[in-house]
Formats: sequence, structure tokens, C-alpha cells
Amino acid sequence: MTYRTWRTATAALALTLATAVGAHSPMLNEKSDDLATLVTRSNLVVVGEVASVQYRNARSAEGGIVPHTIVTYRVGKTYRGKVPGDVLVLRFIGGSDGMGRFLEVQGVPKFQPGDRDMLFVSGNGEGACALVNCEYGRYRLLGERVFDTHGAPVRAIVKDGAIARGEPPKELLSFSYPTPKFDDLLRNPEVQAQLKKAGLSADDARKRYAEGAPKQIEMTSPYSAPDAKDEGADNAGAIKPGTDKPQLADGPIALNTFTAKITEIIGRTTRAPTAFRNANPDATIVLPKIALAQPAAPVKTTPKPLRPPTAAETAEVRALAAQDFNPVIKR
Amino acid sequence: MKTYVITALGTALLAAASGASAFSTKSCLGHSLRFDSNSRTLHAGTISFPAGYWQNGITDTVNKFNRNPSNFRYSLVMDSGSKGIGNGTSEVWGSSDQGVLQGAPAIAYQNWTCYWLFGDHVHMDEVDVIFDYTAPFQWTADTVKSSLIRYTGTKRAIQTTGAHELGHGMILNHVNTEYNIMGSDFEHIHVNGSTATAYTGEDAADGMVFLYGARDNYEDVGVVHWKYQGPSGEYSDHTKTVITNSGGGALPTINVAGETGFRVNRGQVIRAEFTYENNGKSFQSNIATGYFISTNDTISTGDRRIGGATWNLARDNVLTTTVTLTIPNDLPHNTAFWLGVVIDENNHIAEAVESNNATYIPIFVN
Repeated sequence: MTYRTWRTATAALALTLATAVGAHSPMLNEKSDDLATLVTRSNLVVVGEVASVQYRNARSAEGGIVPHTIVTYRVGKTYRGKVPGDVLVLRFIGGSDGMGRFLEVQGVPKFQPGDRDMLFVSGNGEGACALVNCEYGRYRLLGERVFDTHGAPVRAIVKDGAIARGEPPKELLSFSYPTPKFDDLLRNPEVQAQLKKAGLSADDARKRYAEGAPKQIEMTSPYSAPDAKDEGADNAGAIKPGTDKPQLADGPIALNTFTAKITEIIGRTTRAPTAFRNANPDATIVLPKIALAQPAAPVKTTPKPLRPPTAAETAEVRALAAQDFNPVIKR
Repeated sequence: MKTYVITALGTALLAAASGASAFSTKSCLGHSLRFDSNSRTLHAGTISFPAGYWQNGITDTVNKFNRNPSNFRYSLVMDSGSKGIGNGTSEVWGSSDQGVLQGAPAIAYQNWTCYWLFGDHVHMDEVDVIFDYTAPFQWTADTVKSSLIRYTGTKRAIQTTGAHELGHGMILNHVNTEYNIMGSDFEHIHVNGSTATAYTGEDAADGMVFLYGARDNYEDVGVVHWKYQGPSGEYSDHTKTVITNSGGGALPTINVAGETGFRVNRGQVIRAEFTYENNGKSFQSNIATGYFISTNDTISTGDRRIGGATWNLARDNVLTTTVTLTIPNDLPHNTAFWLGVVIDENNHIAEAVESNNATYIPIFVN
């Protein structure tokens, strides 16, 4: 199945997901932590470990280089669906182009060898993101403990919701890309210009690169811990939001607790999984030409006051408009 | 608006918001990812943003985002050319392609460079912002609150979501620990009267100043009727601020013009909660703030003042807090009013944006 075909096949499903919190810029009424949604929409549920990560460049129809990540999982246990063989191969948009340039897409997860995860896989392995609700279709595992896609400890399961709160362990915060090979880096026009400016031969530069380049391209994205003010509890008298606070464990829940819940949900799920096929790491990634969509016809809204404004209210609005809506009325 | 004689003064409180920056950025090889200049041109397609309503909307989005205290500014160019990812040009367009959108109402693609070549070379290259133009997402480009979800409408403002995505262009990450635009953007908005205005807010402003430095003489304080509710995945959820009885207990509510109003009695002592932000460069102390009773949802100092307070605000924390006020004894029964707030009520601060200095909470006098 080509990328384009995959998109067509998933378009209808994606439409049904379109209000989900689980991609980017959350919408209303759906929660990213709803395990029943993940199970129902999945064709595979597995626990596995990343055996390898490869990067492949697609050339867009517009001429840009669009890196993709090919992730191969060794599957430990399959809870739903059937893995075609011993490994699971998934493709995601984003990654390294091998020349010192990177693409990251909000809502699309990143992977490193050794990562252990529970995955809720939706489409097949090809496409931009094969997980249910993309990044939210991944739960991270550290030892036998469960963390959400961003590394926050899962500290309770309430109804079907996995409640994750708190600071990710440092193991789940670090991420690195492979250091580009020198000859690949040389294909980057910016690098070529720098070498020319420095008057270095490629051989001299290669030698110095071998000696000085870092072993990995380390990325950091510090966790921003909340303090009491942010939580509203002690924010100089703020009223606590009236939501029910779940009883949370001190740390992440155990994997067997999590999988027991998943197994229970699978048992009551009526939708049968469809067949899954691994991504082909060597396949040429065909990106469709970007089609620009037109917006809907604008529907201008006219404010509807409860009642006709009084003369004083009309004068107030007029006065505000005259001073760029500075609410301090000039006398 | 009706002018009343001042009958009561609320309790003046002094509170300082400090020390709780929540913004999150990304680094490569130990260097913050940022554009290598203080400006970036965004190319918006005229197919997705045709002249008139939608072009005005995307222009407004960029203009509102640029109202921040950092040295960075986006500029906007409209063109009819094709759009693409990884082409070295930062672009914004609308799409129906779920292979690009990932089911999101909008998404940001970030391209950057990071390598070592006898020194670290780290810089942001491109951000592409793509809006989902398919159902169920409904967009509006106007600034009328009755259009919007969380008010009486069904639409999402491209200005708020656009500001969120442009924040990603600055390599600001999602934040789930504070009221901020990098959380639930459609619940991060300033409203006074019928006008709803997108803005970047204190926390994103703080992040942008961290990355690009502070702009001289850019000062701005503001007040909204939204606050932090809690984390929702990587995002913060926000909810509207409230009015309680003097002990902080919940008051009965009633629908007032499509919004939640709080039922109060004449002469009742209540606590009114608002969120105050410093969206500007400098620490501001002793900011005079007035509280008003208004006959409509447009709040100004022309309304009846019922109390005052002063605040100290730094650009490193959003301050959500309450003031104690007394509902005047002479208000008519069974009537809706709007309890308003005006920050910097004496116009002491020369602000880049003055229109975000007032907002309201509906009340209904039993």
C-alpha cells in the first residue's frame, strides 16, 4: 500500500478521530488518556522494545526533503491483533535527514533504540503515524512501570482513563539523534559554504570531524515542574477548580496492572482488528503534492445583546472605541 | 452602563506573582533552538486565506502574536504559490489531508539545523503551520465572543490556535502546568464586551523573551476571566474564574446571556476571582485595580466602582487570585449584572495594549 493509499484508507477513520485530544491542539469532549478509545480503534496492541531506528528521506512534490523515521520493534507480547512475524516495523513522519537537519512534527512521537513501549497501532506500518491518536497511542515503559507518551508517570486508572501526573524520569527525557556521517554532512549546502569559507579541504575537514564531532546529537527539553502557584492551591487565594481529583499512587503503576486493564477492555471491545502489514524500510516514500484547501464561507457573527443598549451603554461603547478600547474612560 | 455612587470598597490585597516560569523550550547540543534573526517571514496562501475575511483573520493572528515583549516578530506575506514542508520557507495554509494533519485541528512542522563542524551550528530553519479545514472543525476569523466555543458559539478562532502554532515556531513546547497559550489555546483568550481577543500571554511571552531578549519600552498588563484548571496530557486545561461566598464556598449559578452567572444577594460579601498577567518587559508594582458593577458585559471605569486592590506583577507567573467585595445594597432584585475589573485603572502604565485591561464575570442579584 502506498502512502497515498494509506491516507485514503485512513481518511475516514481520521475524520472520526478529528475531535480527539490525541493529536495536537486538543479539542473538546475527548480525552487523550481514554484507554477504551485506544483499544477500540487499534488493530494491534503490543508490548515491545525498539530494536533499531532508521531514517529515510522522502522528496516532497514541492522539492523539499521530508525525513521519516523507520522504527523496528521486537515484540514481547501481543494483546490484540496479529503481528506479521517477530518484529513490528512502523514508519513515522519526521526525523533526521542525515545532513544535520531535522524535522519534528507536533504530536508525532520520536523513538530511540532500547525504548520499551506499549503501542496501540491503528493503520498499517506505513503512513505518517500508525498509532491511534498518534503520540497518544504510545505508553512508555521503564522497568515494569508505565508512563504516558510524554514520560509522565501513570498513577491511576479511573474508569478507562489512565491518569498520568508528575515529572518524567530523566531516562525518558533524554533524546539523541545519530551524528551525521561526514560525507552525508557534506551534502548540506550550509556545510559546503562553511568549508569553503574556512578554506579547508574535504580530507582535512573529515579528519578533524572524526576527532571532534560529538558521538550523538543530544536534544534536551527540560521538564517544567508545576509549583503551588500554578496549581492554584496557594495562588494568593485562587479558588480550586471544582473537578474531582482522582486518588493517585505515589509513583507509576505496574505494567501488569496496566495490561490487566487493557485485557479487560479488549474483552468487551466489539470491533475486530483488521490485518496489519509492516512498513518496508526500503520502499520509496511517495509524498503527495500538497493540496491547499479553501476555507468555508465566512459566517460573520453579529453580537446579540440581551436587550437594546441604553443610551449610557451606547455612549460607553462609543467612548471606548474612540480610545482603542482602553477601559479607562477619559473624562 | 449606569453611573452609581460608590458605596463600598473591597479589601485591598497586595500579592506578588513570582518565580514560577513554566515555559519550555528545546535545545540541541546545549543550545536553544531559535531562528538566527529576530524576524521570520510567513507566507500564507491566498487559496486558504482569500482576500477579505480569512486574509484579515490570518493577518490579525500574526499581529496579535507579535504583541509580545520579545524582540522577535513574524511578518506576513500573502502569495498564490504552492506550499511545502522542508522547502526553507515558513508557510501557513489550510488542508484536508489527514496524512499531514494527523487528525489535529492544526499542526506545526518544525525544521531545524543542528550539527558540529569545528563548533556547534544550531538554528531554527522553518515552521509550517497547517489548519484542518475539514469537519468537524469550524473556524472563525472574527473576534466576536458569541462565535466561540466556551461562549455561545461553536467555532474555534484561528487567532488563538494560530498563536499556539506560531508559538511552536518559536520552539515553545506544550505546557500543562499553568494558564498559557501553549496549553488549550481556545480557552486562552481575553474578553470584554462582545470582543474576544487572542493573545500570547505571560508564559509564552516569558519564553520568547528568554529566546530573543526583551523589547525596550514594551509594557503590558492584562486581566482575564480564565484560569488554570489542570493538566490534560501535555496541555493545560483552563476554566473560567468564579465568584464565591466570603468563605470560598460555591454560589448557585444561572445562565446570563449564555454564560455562567453567579447568584448573589444585595449586601452579600463575595470573593471575585480573576487572572492577572504581566505580558510586558518590566516588573510592575502597585498596579491600581478597580472592581465595578456594570449593567452590561462591557467593563470600563465609567461603571460603578465597588472596590479596589493593588497588585505587583512580574513576567514570570500568572496570578489567579480573589478579592473580597460587597454587592451593593441598592441593586434591583432579579436582575443580571456584570462584575467587572479594570487593571491599571489610573492609566499609570504606558502599555502597548490597553484593551486587555478589563473583563467581567456575570452575576444575578436575587
